[in-house]
Amino acid sequence: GGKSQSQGGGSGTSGTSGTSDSSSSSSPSSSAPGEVYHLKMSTQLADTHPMVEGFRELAKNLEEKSNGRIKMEIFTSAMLGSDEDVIEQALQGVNVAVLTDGGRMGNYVKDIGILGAPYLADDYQDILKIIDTEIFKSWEEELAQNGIRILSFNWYDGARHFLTNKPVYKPEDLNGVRIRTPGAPVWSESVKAMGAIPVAMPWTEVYTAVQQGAIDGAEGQHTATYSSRLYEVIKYVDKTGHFQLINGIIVGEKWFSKLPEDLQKLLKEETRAVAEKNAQYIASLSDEYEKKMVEAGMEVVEPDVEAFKAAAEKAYEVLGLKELREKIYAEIGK
Amino acid sequence: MLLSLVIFLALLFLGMPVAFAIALAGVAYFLNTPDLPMSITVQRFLVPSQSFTLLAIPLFIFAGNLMNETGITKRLIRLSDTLTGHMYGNLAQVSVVLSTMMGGVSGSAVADAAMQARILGPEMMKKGYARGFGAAVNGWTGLVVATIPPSMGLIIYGSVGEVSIGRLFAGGIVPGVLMMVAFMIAVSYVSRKRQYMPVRDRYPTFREVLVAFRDGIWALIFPVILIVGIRYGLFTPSESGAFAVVYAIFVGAVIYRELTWKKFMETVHKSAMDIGAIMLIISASGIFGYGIVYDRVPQNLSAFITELTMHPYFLLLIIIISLIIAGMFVETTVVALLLTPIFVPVITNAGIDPVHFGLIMMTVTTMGVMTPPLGVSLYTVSSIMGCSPQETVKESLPFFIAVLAVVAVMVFFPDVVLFLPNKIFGA
Amino acid sequence: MKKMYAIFCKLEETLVKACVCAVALLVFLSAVFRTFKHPINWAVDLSLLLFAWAVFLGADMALRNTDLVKVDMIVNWMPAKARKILQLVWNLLIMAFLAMVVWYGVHLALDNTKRLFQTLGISYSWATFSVPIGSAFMLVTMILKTVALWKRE
Ligand code: NA
Ligand code: NA
Repeated sequence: GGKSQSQGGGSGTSGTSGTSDSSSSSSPSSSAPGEVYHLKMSTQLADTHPMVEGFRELAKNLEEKSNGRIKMEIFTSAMLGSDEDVIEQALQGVNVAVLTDGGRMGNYVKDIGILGAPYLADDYQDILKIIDTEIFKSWEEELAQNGIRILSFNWYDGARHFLTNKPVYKPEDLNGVRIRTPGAPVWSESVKAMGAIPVAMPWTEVYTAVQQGAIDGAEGQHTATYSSRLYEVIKYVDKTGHFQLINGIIVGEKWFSKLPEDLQKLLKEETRAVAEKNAQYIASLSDEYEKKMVEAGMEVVEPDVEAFKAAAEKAYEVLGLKELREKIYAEIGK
Repeated sequence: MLLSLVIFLALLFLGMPVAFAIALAGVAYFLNTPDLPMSITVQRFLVPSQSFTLLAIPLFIFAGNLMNETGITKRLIRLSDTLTGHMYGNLAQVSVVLSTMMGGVSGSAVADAAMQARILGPEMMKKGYARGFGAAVNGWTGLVVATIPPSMGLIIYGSVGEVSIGRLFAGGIVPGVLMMVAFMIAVSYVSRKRQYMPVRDRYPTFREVLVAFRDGIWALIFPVILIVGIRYGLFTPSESGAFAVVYAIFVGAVIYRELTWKKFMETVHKSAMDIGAIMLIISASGIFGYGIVYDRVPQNLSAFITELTMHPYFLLLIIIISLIIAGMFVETTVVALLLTPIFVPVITNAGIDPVHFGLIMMTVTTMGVMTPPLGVSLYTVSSIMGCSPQETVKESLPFFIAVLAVVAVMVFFPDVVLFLPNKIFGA
Repeated sequence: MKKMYAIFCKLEETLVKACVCAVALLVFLSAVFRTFKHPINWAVDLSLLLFAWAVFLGADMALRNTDLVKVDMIVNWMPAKARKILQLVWNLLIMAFLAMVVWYGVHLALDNTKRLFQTLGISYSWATFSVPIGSAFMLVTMILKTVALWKRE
């Protein structure tokens, strides 16, 4: 096994010219160990999103722990392109990292799309168990063969709830209600299974579309609902918690494989560690946001979650995900 | 990125078509940055055409062309003529008023300037107007078209800066009307001095006005339909272009009965070419824009400006001057695409409303279509009127001053812009 | 040969025009259907796919039939001979650019066929291909224009 170089080449900032070490590394790193690697971290989230604070912490930690050999810059609001575009850039070898959901990864490894299925996980702890399963590791392998390297997949943005202008207690209450949801089949099938009419539309258009009646509501996590000020135009947040919104940071295998082994390891460990911390922060913020939204006049509805779970089963049938879910549950003992 | 900018300006001034000058300057950045594979230039070339919001642009081009074939334009000319026949330089006044009315259905300053130079130009020359003056009037009044909703520039600003396009549209109405008044004063001043005599020695009768209004009503109510449609959720601003197309076909085929199948097909043909030419420029700027983002130019420039001053008026002054200069050298849509992400965060930080700023920014930027050395309208109207661009530039001063006056009013009285959007969409 | 090319141009133009009309219709209908609570969720993706083709084939149409916007103030001062040489150089540069786009465009489209138009369930490469194919046609147009320029006295 490769003897892992001590982090950042130890204290020896002087000529770490021991290139002989690289023979043990799986990567064909022709570069000198002292080389500086720039990474551009891209996300569609706005600069003010609490997860971006996590990215800033990550950038700081990476630079410190690598003795300045990794420099990460953050690009918010899809400046470098949509997530799909930046994934494509990563595949082509650009030094970008992207925050992405399971659905987009599902294009490359179909099964990983299940991460976006309704009620797969009950909370963040469930998610942590899932990403440590052998099944998940096999997806990681397969993605790597497709040119995509997962650094960590435990970036948590909270639970998604329905946002409507009439209270929703059970799936029937959603009948005939036009709910904005991302266009991917996993999401729209799930929303449909739970009784609503899914409408694909960019998130940024939701505020005006609801205000003006082009749609009747949306579904989202508190961080997004609050920052888009949807409480100004939507009365009820129906706490179904139908998705646990989990994201991963990925880079291109082309770029990743050029890194020295110690930096590869550092990237994976550090992104995961920061994500776990950030998840707690976001969970506490979500509660705070909910309070603020209630103060602003929004009403919290506690619906019959079991009824929604039962209704969501239909989505698993339509999407053919039942068997896969059983396999995952068997492994995590759920 | 500086190298790319130099390459761009060099290619531009030595006569390479704008679209390719931008594309090649963008490619130069990729060649100069080893981390960036060339294949990404293709992705960035494609990306502008994959924005649902920018999709409104071809649709409004299409709708504008349809208007000219449906008899709407003809009726609006008659109405403008009735309203201004008693004024000095009335043909030039027709151009001003017509642009205001056409503004409600057309979104492109350039397309409209060209159309009006073609229709009104020959008559102006017959009446002895200086060619340069005729070119200047038809060209500058295109700005009114771009301010009154719908507006291509505002769509780009709204989509890039994530500002509500519905509000921007509503915000354009009052400044558009103000601009009409300012242009009418400018035309009147020049025409009296040069004795461009009125064709009628009396005011129009109430009856004449009424008849002409009734004829043109279908075009005049369209901006109202547009904003009401957006307000009540029938369509989103991104979709409004498609409604403009359907509306133009409906009015032309069903109400005026002037739109034949043959005319329709000709219009589609012309529109397809217009769309190709404009979108080629916008697409090419996708390649160039990637380098700007990759180098964090927006963040650095924003920080630089913020450091310079945070006083709203100074800030606006600096930005307006930069935009006038940028508009001289770069195509309008490209200025909007590249500079909106730089300026919006800065002005938002300084407490300026992005809708207010959007109208100021797009008015100043759109001026670029008439300013040398690169002014798309300037070249188009000059060639149609058969004069040199220099002559047109010489005649442009009164109009330039008129626009600056309107911009000044917008800067110092934000409510001129914000009153309507707040009224319609809530504060 | 000439006749074949004329037929090809006609086909290309018909395709562009069909795309433009289809986009208008799709966007219009999707708004109407959403209002009546039957949203067509694939309409956006499909209209964007058609738009890509309208843009890059339409660009060829514009390149062939019109003069693209450019600044000719300085160029107009030059002697005719210099102007012609300069224009030939620019044409060659433009052709090099288009050839590059064709080459890398085909690669990009083939590299990432797994990327999907989510609501259509078809590969995004169908859109990506519009760039190299449109550029290939523009390349042909530029070659013909350059030959014509070369022959002109
Ligand atoms: Na005019
Ligand atoms: Na307009």
